[in-house]
Amino acid sequence: MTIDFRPALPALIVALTGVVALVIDAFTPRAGRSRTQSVCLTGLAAALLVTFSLPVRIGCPACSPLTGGSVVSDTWSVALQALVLVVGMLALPLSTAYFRAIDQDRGEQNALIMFAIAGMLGLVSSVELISLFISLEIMSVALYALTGSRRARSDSQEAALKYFVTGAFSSAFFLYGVAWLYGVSGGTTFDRIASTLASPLGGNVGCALLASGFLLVGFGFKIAAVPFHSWAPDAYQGAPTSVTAFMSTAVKVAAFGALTRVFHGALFPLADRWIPLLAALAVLTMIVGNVSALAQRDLKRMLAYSSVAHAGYVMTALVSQPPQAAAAVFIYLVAYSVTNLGAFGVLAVLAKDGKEPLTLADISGMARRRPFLSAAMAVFLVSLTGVPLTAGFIGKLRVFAAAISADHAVLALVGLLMSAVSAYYYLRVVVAMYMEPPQDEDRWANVTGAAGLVIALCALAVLMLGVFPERLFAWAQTAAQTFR
Amino acid sequence: MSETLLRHALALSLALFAVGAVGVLLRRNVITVLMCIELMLNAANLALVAFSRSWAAVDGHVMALFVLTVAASEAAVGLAIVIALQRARDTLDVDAFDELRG
Repeated sequence: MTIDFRPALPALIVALTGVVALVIDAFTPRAGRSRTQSVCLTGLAAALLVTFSLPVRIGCPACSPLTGGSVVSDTWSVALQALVLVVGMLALPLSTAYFRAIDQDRGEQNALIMFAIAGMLGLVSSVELISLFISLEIMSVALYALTGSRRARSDSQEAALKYFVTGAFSSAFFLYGVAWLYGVSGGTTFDRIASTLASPLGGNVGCALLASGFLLVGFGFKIAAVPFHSWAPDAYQGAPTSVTAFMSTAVKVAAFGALTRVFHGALFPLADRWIPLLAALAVLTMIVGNVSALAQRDLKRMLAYSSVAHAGYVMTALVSQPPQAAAAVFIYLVAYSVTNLGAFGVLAVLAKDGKEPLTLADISGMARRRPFLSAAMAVFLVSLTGVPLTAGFIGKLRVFAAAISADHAVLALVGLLMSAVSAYYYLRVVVAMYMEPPQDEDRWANVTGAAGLVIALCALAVLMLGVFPERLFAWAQTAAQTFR
Repeated sequence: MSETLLRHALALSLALFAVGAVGVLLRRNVITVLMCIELMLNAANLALVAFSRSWAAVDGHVMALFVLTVAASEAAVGLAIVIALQRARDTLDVDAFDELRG
């Protein structure tokens, strides 16, 4: 009996890098600055390299979780792991810049980001319930600590508490769904569950539906779908801005990656039952997310509600058939990640002396003082709106096309209407930056170095993906091969 | 494991889960809320162990062990957050944490 550890290698490398980062910071004299950023970046790059060099779909789907095969390296996991790792590499310099600006660069945040990424890598490559749940928890626990990592501020602590309580609550629902699914199928691998659910269930169909419902509630909290979204605005607003940038993107990538695999893999035989439910949640999420964002004065809170709305857009793709749904989900996640990371990133890099821009008034007239940064922010906001020639447009095009192809045109219609609504609150920020007079004094940081490079890369990626999407479509096609 | 015993174990597990979930939603003291979450996790553990016995397999038992570990680490981080917040606000009432809203 041999255990094939290779599919778990990327996650193991990242987790080990996190431990190394902790040890390095423990043994170097503290000058208020962590030196572990380059170590962590190297670890992520190594994991990325390993991800691509692993043979695809190794590990045996039929074997028991105890003898290996709980995580696999297939086209979906490779694509999603690569996305998570790239988001992590972009988020690290932002995080370092932000934590230096608030004078709290102690290094733990780098290690915590590594641990969260290790969990995410496990989450998107799990094909089995035990490893799925453990990965989810590794990710979540690291994120609770990251959210509260601005220790001097009570709003950061409050955000951490709210995130923790709702997160643990949702984990319990998720676990309960896992338990019942195990009870129905007698096994924990997705293959086993799918084959059990495809056979006549008899009296067990109620249990299977109960289990699916619990899993949907658990995932709903993690992706912040309405009505399970109440934690998101508070957590995103109170968390350190660079952490918000990271968790509003990477967590959604990982959670949607796992959600697609669970519902379009293990639970697909029950698709007739959960698709209407998912469609209803998508409509609710798009409407509530966008309408709530309209009323926000705080920029982070506005972007938080916007990311709730974007979860709704992704969900519209999930009502279609597996390969198409997976491809559309992947395309949207790529587009959304670079855009949203950039948008929160701009707010994070402007932080100076423990303060950061919070309202429209804080960034009014920014275009005159920070022309490049303002241009980048405008690109991100336009892409979030979904204007052609940006990545956001390509993403929305594909998810709405997927919904229409599955005879759920209503979803696409609601999505389009809500995109129009969202233009108001996104473009209001652009107007403030470009058309209003600047403040008397320049209170914000000058962007330099790695963080500036990250913003530039994100803006470039948004435009490149928007103008030349063919490469992205090809990647998505490959990634979706898992779901044939 | 007999069918009756499985049914009884699952009924108890559902009841514990419901008590935990209602407690999280209704209780106002943070520590009690954390205890209710533990109750929900343990309800899931009970279901896992019962199912594992009825399938005569070990996966459920193994998973229950993992859940215990996860619950411990979750409690560690959760209590750390509660302590930090208690120092800042001098209260454990969840309704008092309303700085972030809108």
